[in-house]
Amino acid sequence: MTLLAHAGHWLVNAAYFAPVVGFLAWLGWTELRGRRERRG
Amino acid sequence: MIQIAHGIVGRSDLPIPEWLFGWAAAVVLVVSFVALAVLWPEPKLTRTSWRPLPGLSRVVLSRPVDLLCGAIGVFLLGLTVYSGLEGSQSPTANFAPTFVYVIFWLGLVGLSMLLGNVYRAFNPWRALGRAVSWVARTAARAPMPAPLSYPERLGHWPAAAGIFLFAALELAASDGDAPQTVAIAVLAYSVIQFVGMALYGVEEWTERGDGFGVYFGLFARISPWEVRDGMLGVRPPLAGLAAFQPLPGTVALLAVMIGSVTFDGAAEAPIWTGIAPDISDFFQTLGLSPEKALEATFLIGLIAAIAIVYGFYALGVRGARSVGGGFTDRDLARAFVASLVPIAFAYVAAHYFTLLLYQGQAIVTLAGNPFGFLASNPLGEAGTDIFGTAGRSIDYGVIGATSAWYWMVGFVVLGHVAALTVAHDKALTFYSDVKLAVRSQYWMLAVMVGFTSLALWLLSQANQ
Repeated sequence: MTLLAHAGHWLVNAAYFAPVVGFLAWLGWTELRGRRERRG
Repeated sequence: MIQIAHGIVGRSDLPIPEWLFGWAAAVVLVVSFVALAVLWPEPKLTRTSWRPLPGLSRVVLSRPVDLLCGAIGVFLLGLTVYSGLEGSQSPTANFAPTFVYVIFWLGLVGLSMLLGNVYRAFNPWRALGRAVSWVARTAARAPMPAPLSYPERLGHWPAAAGIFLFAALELAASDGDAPQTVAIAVLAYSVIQFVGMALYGVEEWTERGDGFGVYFGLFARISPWEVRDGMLGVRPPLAGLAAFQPLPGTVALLAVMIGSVTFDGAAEAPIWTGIAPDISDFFQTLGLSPEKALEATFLIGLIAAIAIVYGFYALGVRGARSVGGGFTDRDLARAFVASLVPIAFAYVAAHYFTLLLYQGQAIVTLAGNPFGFLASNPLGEAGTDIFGTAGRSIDYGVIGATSAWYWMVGFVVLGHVAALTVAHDKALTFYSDVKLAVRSQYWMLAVMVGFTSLALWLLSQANQ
């Protein structure tokens, strides 16, 4: 409940880091895909 | 100092939420990355020309100017120590804390970036070391080489340690802004400098071991000014970073430079203010006094911030290694470390911009009354007002909160785009395959976006 009650605060804080999280996720995904292609 | 650093009012009239600036900055970085990949296919910074300026060089690097700058540096060192030891112990009334933490520590960063390595000219320890060396050479009527050669493995480690201790004094020590503490710290640093110069030679120690010498020297590499073989000349901005040769400890030094600013900002964030009392309580259960427990807590916070910065860079390096090329983590970490310098500049400029603008004004009043005694001092010491500025107060209207925010965002974005440019140029010389060079930079882009997000988040914490 505390987590939800303070969602306004931590969501705003998390929003700052969304670009880097998104970028790292994309980078990780392309890395995995590249490895699979190299194996295949 | 922290309170003064963030003494700006809320930015309620921004057209978009502050976090959206972070997203916009990330987009700018991605667009810059694509533009660099398409429009910058060959290294330009490393293969750039340097143009000598003989006329200006004759004046700026002349013997009288050299002596005058050194003498000014020594005078300011003496004034700082004397006012710190003998003056009022109020941090805001005494010359020493404002001069050291604002004018010297922050002001010289901007000056180095704009005018080159000005610190080298004003460095009081170098000036004194050279003077002693000259006297010794004259007395002996023979060259006086340094007794030891600087060990390669020592690299920038002494400089990293020096900057870390300075940051600990500023951010963790409970009386770090007390004039007497500042003066004693300056004296202790002086002893280390004299020992270092006596062992390894004045120039060798100043270039590698002197924390401030290396710190300001790195920022000066952003500037277009460079001295080669005793001649002043110009080069494209950032070219000095492309030519930078890292040493052991350089990555740690950059992590300290960025990490210390990170901690200064994060220390105001609820995430830290929430856990700091618990850590402090833990230290008190171990027997530390409340004051020492708080100092230990802040020291741990500072070390953690430096470790996070170092870890994030190491993550980017590990990612860059995964694209191939046969390089080790160490090779890559050292190859791209110069790209952290514009980031360090962006952090300092954005985080301390208002402190420099506001508290920097106080130096005029403090210079007129460096000891900080009032005319009506109960101890009977007479106050001075050399420049007639005693009644002058700080003008907080010099910049508005919204304008300051735009400036700070501008510093962050420009610094990170510059970092991206340096890393891209370096990759083109480092990798034999252009495609591999660009792919390695995906990871450096992630590092830059991460540092940008962190910088803007830290700035946003100042007003919570």
